[in-house]
Amino acid sequence: MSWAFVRHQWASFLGTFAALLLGVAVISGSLSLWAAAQPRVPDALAATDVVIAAPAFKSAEGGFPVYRPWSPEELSSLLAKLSATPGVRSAVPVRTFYVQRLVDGQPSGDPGEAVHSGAAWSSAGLGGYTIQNGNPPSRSGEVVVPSSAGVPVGAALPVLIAAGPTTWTVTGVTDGGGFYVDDATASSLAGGVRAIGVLADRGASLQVGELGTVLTGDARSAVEPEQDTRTRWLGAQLIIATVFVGGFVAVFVVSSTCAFAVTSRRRELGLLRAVGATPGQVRRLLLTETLLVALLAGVPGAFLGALAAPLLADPFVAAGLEPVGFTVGLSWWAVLISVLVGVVVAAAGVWLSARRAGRVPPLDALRDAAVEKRPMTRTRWVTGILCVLAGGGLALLLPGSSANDKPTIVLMSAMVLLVAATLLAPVLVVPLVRLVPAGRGATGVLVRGAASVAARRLASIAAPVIAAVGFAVLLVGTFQTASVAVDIEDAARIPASSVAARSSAVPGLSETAVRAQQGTSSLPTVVYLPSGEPISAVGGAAFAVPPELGLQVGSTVPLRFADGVVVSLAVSSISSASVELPRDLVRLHDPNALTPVVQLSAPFVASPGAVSMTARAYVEREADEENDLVDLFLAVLLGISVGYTALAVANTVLMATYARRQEFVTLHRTGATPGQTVRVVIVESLLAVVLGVALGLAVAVPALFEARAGLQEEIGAPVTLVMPWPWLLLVAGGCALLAAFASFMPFLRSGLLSGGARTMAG
Amino acid sequence: MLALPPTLVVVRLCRSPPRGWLKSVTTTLQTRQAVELHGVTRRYGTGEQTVTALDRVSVGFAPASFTAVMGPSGSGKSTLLHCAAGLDRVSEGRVLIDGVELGPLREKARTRLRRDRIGFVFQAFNLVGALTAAQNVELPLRLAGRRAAVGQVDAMLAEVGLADRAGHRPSELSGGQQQRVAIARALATRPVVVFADEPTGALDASASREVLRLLRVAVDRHAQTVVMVTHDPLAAAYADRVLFLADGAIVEDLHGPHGAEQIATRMAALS
Ligand SMILES: Nc1ncnc2c1ncn2[C@@H]1O[C@H](COP(=O)(O)OP(=O)(O)OP(=O)(O)O)[C@@H](O)[C@H]1O
Ligand SMILES: [Mg+2]
Repeated sequence: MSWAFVRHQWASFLGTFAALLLGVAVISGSLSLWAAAQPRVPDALAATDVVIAAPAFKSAEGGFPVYRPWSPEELSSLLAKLSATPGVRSAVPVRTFYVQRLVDGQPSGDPGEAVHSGAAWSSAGLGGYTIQNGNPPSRSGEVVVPSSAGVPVGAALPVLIAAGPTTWTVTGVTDGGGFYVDDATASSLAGGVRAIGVLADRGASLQVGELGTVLTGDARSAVEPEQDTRTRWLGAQLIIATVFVGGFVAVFVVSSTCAFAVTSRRRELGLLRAVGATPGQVRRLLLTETLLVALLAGVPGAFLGALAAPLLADPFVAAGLEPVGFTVGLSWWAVLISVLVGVVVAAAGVWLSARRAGRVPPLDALRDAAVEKRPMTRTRWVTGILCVLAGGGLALLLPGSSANDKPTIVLMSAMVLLVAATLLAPVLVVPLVRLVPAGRGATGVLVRGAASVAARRLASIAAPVIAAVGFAVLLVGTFQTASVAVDIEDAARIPASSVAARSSAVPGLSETAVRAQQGTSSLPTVVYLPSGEPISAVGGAAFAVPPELGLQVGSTVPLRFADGVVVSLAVSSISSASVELPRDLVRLHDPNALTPVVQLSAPFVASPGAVSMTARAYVEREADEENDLVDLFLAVLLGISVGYTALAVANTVLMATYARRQEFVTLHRTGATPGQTVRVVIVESLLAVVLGVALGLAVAVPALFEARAGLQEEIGAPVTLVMPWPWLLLVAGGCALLAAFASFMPFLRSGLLSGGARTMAG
Repeated sequence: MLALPPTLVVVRLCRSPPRGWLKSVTTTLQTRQAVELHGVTRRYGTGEQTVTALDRVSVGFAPASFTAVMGPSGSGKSTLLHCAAGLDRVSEGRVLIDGVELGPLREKARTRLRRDRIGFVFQAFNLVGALTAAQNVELPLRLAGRRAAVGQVDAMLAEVGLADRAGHRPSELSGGQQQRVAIARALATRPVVVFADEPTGALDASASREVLRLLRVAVDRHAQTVVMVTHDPLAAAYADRVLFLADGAIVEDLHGPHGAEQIATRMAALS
């Protein structure tokens, strides 16, 4: 029977269908990307049977585990122990370093990949690579290159390494990726070792105790380059945000469409009750209908999303959201899960409406369906007020929360308040409608009369507008306010000078490039506290620590450097910002460290990978890279939330107008010209849009202020609030246009304008 | 075998007697009415605006009888029907259907009772637009979790002369045909009583005659009880009994078939 209803009244299910189709497609696409974005075993370790990872440190706040390097003694004892284990064919430390080929004096290749593209020849076997041509490198200055480089054996290969430009001789060509040098050179160029690749027979039992973790199979992906992990994390953030906002908007739209459908089907539901359907049966009928629609929409939606996801792989890599080599396949579980999510979303959306439908009294079969008795039900009041309290309560949590959680809390609180505004909207309809001048014509009177009777209808049209305006103002406002704030923060630190910065082709400046310049720079590195906790440090003058580490001047700390060597250092002063270490010590223990920028005190001297620019231009460039990402996030989230709700606006107005056809016929017969009828409907829809804009702003603007307060606290300077007026106008205007157009549409189709009142009645 | 006194037989048959069973059993035995109203009052609104739509109405409808309810507009005819059918709750008084008192029943039990023992024909909007004529007829059975026996629905439709329209949707049927489908549906469960509120109100003379003939046949051939509200003396002439309502009270109770003219005269005298 449900099927008969769905088939017959497809028009009233169209909105739910479209909302679910889109929602499920977004979720399925996101999940497919997510599935593909799982860490991969690096190619260079693809042939290993086991990977031993160094001890990992996991911070209490979450984040990625960080592997501290083994000290040379730990490493040699571990290697000795592993080699002695029965079944182990070889155990090879993984040493990687920065190397980038210079083509015509210019660094080439992906700068991010270059950071770990150099390796020791002994580890070539871990990737299953063999020499195709020539010989392995045997001494310093020799290199084996991938055949894809197209360099013949015996040729000279100019490269850039952390120390500076140098020229190597190609002694061989492999089928792998990366540049392989002899082991001695590799260990002098690489920092520490954090992974050992093992080739072993099945069943070999490896024991490493406290000194690391034994990884096999897919778990070996844990040692993928940190850079890739970070990139994936960014991608994951976008995916999570998409699923989160997309899921919320889907539930929101589906539930308001369902609620509306119940209102406009009162007479039919009353008839069912009159001929003997129990409240439970009516409830189940609505649930089944919606679930049917959920399946009908969910299955194609899920495939649509899963098939579209592979097309997004390249844009994701280009945007720096996934590492190079990211590909997306058809993921069955993503399809399956998103169909299920669609069903759950639909059930959640229809649940309250179904309960309300069950309570429709049988006598409603005899009443005019368009007239609702009360704008608000008790459930609506209670839920609405609970949402106000929950949203307000969330906002109260803000002052005590960490800077990381703040944006999430602001967004959640705003979402809950959007729901509250939607639930309580009918209350505001009557006072709003009073503002319409009655005038001399019929339009004013009709709109005032209809709107106060059908507050619910106006509120239903307003609901998606509330969400669209709320999301647009909040998202754009927060992002823009934040990016202005970040600019302030960076600008405060920019001295008015010129700098030698890394060119965008390289990950950082080599030692040679730095030394060529006169000026000041700091060399970033990471050192590890005895707990294994990594802390960023810069090579500068003496050992200075910021106050939050809780160390006194004169106390001694054993610090583990990038090469794993532990050095005990006495604190010589308390610094204001980061941990500072003697520069030479950093260089000694972190041969791979690269300098981001040199503040020049003399004219710039050209060097591979270095460019001259003003300090301001440098800051702007760094910020732009981030801003591009921020813009992308914004575009995706806005696209989903606003695009989706716009669809809902059109749909609700269409449904509302369609459901009132009987009323229009009456109007027509009492002598209203088609123009008058259309005017009444359009004015009413516009009123609903005004209501929605007002309520959306009522939620978004305070949330924007909260977001700004959080930012101010974070950077400790006043931040100007950016109110996204153009966006507000665009979204509000767009909703108004859509609403007006959708009010008009059913008249065009039914031919009411040409006097075909009968078709409309039928 | 031990012979039991009749009351005890009833007791043994009622495995879980409902509250007040004795009273209902006795009233049923005494009067054998299909529907009974005892002192039924229905008020709408509160305070100043209270409207008393029914004022202490007591009436019974005998099985296999055809009763017409007449009266001026606003006299409480529809209210009487709704209260008798359990569509509306009464402010005071008791309603019994097939001996079961409606008052104490919760919504679900009330709905079941309506589904199984009452049939409805309204003036318009009787049918679910999404369902075909046959599905509409079968609806109460379906809602009861039953399936119509093979051919039963077709037989019902044939009885109202619409055998060839089983697969049509309401939008494809004329007003008179829609009313006939509604009658078939009302009769489908073999209810204790069929209530009809101006079933011919929106029909022309010949379609009205057909609908009234069908109701009459249901009473004569299937011993169906029918209570019908109407404005039309011609329609009322099909009934065995005509009740006249004015201001929420029964002012006249005509038994036996009467001619339309006679009824019209009565009505004119009352209003
Ligand atoms: N839901 C309601 N709320 C308030 N008053 C009502 C309601 N329903 C009916 N009434 C009032 O009760 C009285 C009886 O109404 P009812 O519908 O029973 O009249 P009727 O005899 O069926 O009239 P008609 O012949 O016009 O259909 C009327 O005065 C009416 O205004
Ligand atoms: Mg009436």
